[in-house]
Amino acid sequence: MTDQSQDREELQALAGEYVLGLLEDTAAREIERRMAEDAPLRAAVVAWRERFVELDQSAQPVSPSIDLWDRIARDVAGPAASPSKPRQKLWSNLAFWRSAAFAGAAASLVLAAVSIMALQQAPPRPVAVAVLQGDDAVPGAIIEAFADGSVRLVPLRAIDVPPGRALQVWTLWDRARGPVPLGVLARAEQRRLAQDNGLPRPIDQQLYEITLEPANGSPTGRPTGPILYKGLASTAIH
Amino acid sequence: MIAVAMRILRRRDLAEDVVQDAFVRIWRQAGLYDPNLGSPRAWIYTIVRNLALNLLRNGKREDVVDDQELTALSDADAEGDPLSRLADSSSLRRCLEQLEPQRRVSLLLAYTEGLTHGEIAGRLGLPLGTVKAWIRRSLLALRECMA
Repeated sequence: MTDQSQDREELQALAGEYVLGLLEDTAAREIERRMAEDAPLRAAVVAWRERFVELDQSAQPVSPSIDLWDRIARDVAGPAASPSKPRQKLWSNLAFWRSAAFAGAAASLVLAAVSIMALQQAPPRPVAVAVLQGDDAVPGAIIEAFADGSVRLVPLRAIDVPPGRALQVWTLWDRARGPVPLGVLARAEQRRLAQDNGLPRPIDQQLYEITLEPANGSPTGRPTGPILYKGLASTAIH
Repeated sequence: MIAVAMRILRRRDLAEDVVQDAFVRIWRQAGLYDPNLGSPRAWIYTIVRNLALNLLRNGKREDVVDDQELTALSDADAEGDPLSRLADSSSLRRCLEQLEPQRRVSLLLAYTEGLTHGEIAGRLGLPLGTVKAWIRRSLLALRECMA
């Protein structure tokens, strides 16, 4: 074996160990530093990543917790995420997205984050918050109410929903108009509701409540079932 | 992405923290993405894997092993051999299958579970030097096979 081919093998083995995650911290940082100027090393690392990436893609999918999107959206929508020129270049690069599409879940998450950014420049901030309580006066859910009249329901306790029934969220700000339905849920879960209903901006002491209704919601447009939780909103300080 | 981090960290909450962190990095550093550094999918998974490995190795391993570990372990077992999840047509699969079982397992433990040379040696009951040499030779064989 010639010295040259030994060197080549050495480089390949080192790059492979780096990608496997087997190098000590200092050795790994050294590789990362060298990659900037050492084209053969960089090519070797890239080739190893491409060889092994199938193992990542084929991992048994794990569905995310209900609040993970919210956490991510909040982070990426934060002020530090103001667009920079190079980023715009990448985001508008079709090849990037075509290729990213193969990253499956990863890409759809990024796309979800991008859509969220496109829809809202700043993270939504509730203008009012209501703590909903049951008869036992224990908090059962929180309503965050936004300027456009939409709300986010955050259940704090599991709610027993019998088969064929559903939870319906209501609000009342004008006795003359009566309770207005915000949305129907099959079970207690965090959810944005009434996003395009054109409801007025929430006011202080506006009533929110959750009732038990038929599976498709109240047939009359008014609460028909028992009130599970209710509470009055307090406007939030900004 | 969560699955990749979870195989390494074995705890869902930590895996989700890693994915959250990875997203923020991907979002903020997309401008630093360089096609010379590989495909976007490999870039994204690399960020996830590196964050998970950092968390695992920065003295957090003790934290990771707690009462939740048993459930996590059974989840990992339920997934089975990562090799069997690769497509039949995959050349990675074909070439890994050509390696001797213990050598193949060494590579897979390093990549999918983030084990170190020493941990792999412990798991397989082999001398550290043997494991190091095997992995190097297996890498070279794998590269030749996939060329």
